[in-house]
Amino acid sequence: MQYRPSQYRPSMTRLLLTVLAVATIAGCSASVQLTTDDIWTVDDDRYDIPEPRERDPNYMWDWAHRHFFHPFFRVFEVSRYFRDNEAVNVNALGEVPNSSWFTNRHATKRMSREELLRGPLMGPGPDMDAPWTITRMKTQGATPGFNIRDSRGDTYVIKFDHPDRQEMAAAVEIIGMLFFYAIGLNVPENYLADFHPDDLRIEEGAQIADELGKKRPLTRADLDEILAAIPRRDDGTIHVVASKFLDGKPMGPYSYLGRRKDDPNDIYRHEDRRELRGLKTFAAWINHVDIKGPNSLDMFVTEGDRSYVRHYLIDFGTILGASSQRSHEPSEGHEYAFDYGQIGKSIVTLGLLGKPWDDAVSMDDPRVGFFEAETFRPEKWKETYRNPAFLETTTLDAYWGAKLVMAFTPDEIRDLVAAGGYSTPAVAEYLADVLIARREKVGLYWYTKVAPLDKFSVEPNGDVRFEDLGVTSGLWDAGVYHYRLLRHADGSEVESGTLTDSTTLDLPEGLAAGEFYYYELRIERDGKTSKPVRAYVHIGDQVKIVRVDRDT
Amino acid sequence: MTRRPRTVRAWAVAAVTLALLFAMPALAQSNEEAGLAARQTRLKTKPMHDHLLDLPGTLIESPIGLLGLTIKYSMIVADKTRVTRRIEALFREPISPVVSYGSRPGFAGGLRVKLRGIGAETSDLTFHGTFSTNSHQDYYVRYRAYELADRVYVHGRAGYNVNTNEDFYGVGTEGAGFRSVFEHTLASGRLTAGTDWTDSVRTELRVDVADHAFAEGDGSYPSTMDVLSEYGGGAPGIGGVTLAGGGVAVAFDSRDNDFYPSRGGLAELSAMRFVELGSDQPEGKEFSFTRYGLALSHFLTVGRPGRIFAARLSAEMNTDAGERQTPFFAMADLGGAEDLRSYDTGRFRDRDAIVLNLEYRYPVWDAIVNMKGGMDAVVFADLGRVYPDLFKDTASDLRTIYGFGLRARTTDGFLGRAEMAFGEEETRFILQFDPIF
Repeated sequence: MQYRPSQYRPSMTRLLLTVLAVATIAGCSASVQLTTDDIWTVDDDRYDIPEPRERDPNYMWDWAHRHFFHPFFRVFEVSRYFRDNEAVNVNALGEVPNSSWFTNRHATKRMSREELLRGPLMGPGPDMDAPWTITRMKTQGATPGFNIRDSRGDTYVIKFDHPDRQEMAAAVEIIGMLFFYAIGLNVPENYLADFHPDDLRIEEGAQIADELGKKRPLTRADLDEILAAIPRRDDGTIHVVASKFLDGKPMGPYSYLGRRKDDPNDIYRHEDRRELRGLKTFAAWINHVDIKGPNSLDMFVTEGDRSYVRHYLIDFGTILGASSQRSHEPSEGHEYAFDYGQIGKSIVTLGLLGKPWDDAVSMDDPRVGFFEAETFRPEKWKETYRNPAFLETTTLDAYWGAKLVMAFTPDEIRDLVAAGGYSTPAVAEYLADVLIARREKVGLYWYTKVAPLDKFSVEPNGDVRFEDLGVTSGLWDAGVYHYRLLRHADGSEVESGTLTDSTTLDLPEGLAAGEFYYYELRIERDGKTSKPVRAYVHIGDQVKIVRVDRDT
Repeated sequence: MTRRPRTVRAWAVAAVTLALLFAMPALAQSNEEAGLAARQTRLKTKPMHDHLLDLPGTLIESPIGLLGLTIKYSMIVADKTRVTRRIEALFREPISPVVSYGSRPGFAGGLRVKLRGIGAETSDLTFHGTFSTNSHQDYYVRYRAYELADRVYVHGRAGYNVNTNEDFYGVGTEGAGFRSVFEHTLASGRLTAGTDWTDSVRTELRVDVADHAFAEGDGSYPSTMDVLSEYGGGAPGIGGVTLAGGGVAVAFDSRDNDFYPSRGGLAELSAMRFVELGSDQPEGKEFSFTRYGLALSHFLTVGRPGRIFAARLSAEMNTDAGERQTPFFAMADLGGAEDLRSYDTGRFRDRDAIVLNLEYRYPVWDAIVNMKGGMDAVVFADLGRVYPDLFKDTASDLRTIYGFGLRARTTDGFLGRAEMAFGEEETRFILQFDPIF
């Protein structure tokens, strides 16, 4: 049986009752509650629901809320100090079940090179053999863009590179799409395309808005004027990224805080979802400093007889060294846009202390922007706009996120970066090298904070196997694994020992049927012993892994 | 009237010498590029020109407990959404509303009409009028042509202003020790014509005509007239005076930015002669004086960009012409957010004044998305004093103020400052949208 934990955040009344109850039973039992139920692998949040209202948040308010009000009031959220602050949508193995938010992919079951490179792409992209029809023009923002419909009737958002940074924005949109898809998120289909301005048509009724938002019919002269500022390739074409319209009806962005209250499927507060909290580690690695609500999109989709909300991450223009149309500042990734701690430190020290990024160096190429590994500290990385879910990230969330990062091999990283279509291989090589160096830092930090003994399984002969993710990801050679087997009911030790060059535990004979036992494992490496990982097994007709706990 | 002995105080010599030495590197930096940059920024009418709505006025000026709070307002257009664009367009020239609040004038409102390109490409003609709940009135017509001819600029202003509760603390190095108010009605005209001889050196001719009339204040504090008649003390010119003046000024400016410089300096020397055109005094004309002004400032970036040592030395001397005097309202005054920051505006008033402002500014925050600019912190010290005769007075103790604060800046300008200033009489919180220097 699979079950779905209810949305657990208590009201104050419930909180007080809970505290009283906990105080009453405290000491009676601190043991882990075990069940022989199947591991929860699918969070079925795709029940048929009425169409929700489209969200249209005010971005200025969103900015102010995340930087000023939420951090302030969070301090006074008393219940936070009394509850278990771990993510709620986590199964007994510490993993995130598949849902409308997340699908376990590369970190759980390795994807082939072809699957990684295909990502979410379902087709060849916009039809290049027939003219595109412009349906809407965007002139506001750093650079213009427009929506087109191709001869197949598919609609795409066309985004340009900045004239001074050719290839940068388009490349990171592709790279981001592939990486974020591979880790399990829903992303749009982004395609690189080179179109000729002569192959554009303007749909009757298409409009253009002036700087005050006043709309008027779009003319060819408008189009020519806008495209005149866009650099062209030698053959006269313009290099763009075409982002295909998502299926369904847009419902506006999701928030990283709270729930969508008109979606009955959305029962967990978003800041308590592990895939959003753990995303911080991945965002740190790939330097997605602009991972905020407005860069997401909820789509109301229909599958068979069900209509539900599917949650997408969109807009990857601010990953690696790119910050949409400009380069990242060296400080990005080190400070919030408004960072009280750093500001206070600077004030007190009279600005005499240097900043970590003062001497940071990046490849000097406009297609790179600013991206480096030297000053990167995975645990200290900060997104530019405070993300409420990231504020709640615990060590276990971050460890889960690290597994997503470490799932990519150096060769896979090189392949996915090259898919960005850089015309100069050295640019792709540099970016891949930086990612590989940052990956190693991610692994070394989080796999040291939490023993990366994972993927427990039972062999046909009843032996228990596990993986040392530090070894499988190439971080270190096999270590020494100390283990104890204990009976869960009374904590009595059944046996203990040490494994070297092996990650298979021989379950001893004579264990009581119907009982729970657990292995307590530690890694010894470089003279240091890790905190334990406990893998619980149930002895029944079949030996079954029922739970894995990790100390932090 | 006794002639002033030229016994110059040692500290004054030391301070001026030090300041001049400090300014020397600025003189040496008079390269073409720095001068051009300074000239380009000088042509801007507002430090926050590109980022803020160009709305003048004081929004809030209100004492809070023992702290004096002064807030001027502007609107920041950080992220140009459609709504903010519409607001910007609504308040864009030529007509803009003027709304303000101050503890002295109360709520004030009015209109400003600003026309550009009158007579010269870089010029503006402004009509401004406000009226406040405390009956303050401010009307003026102003014309500014930044390049009337090659390297020639002209500023002209004619105005009528009524301040129903202007402060008066008495004349002298210590003042009368208490606050009084009077009503000051001023009708004035001013014309300034200048030439940029080089990109760093400019000279100006200035002509002023002003009619000052005084009456009982609004009663918020004791009337100055009552105080003077009851307790004595002098306020020459309190009966009303019409003055005309003319003079010259020369300036050497190598700052890299007029509003928030990080390097370079400004040295300015001025002299103006004022004579009385008319008087209500039965004995006839009694006012005539010469005003000398000196302002030296220098800005030095130390180490990383943004760490700036800034210093300014200002001196003003008003020398009576023969038996004629300097009226009280024309004397040098100190106090307020522009010089001795922990004191009330006009707290000290006498013929001469000298003030030294020292600041260490350093960046504490840089905005990285959409809104360029950031925030600096500052620690500062102000030293200054008024004198009946700077070259004669034996008092050498300076009023000393120290404090700290934060500055908001844009990429190419200054947005505002919040400062705490600590002095002998009181501690003051300052929130202002003008740079101090």
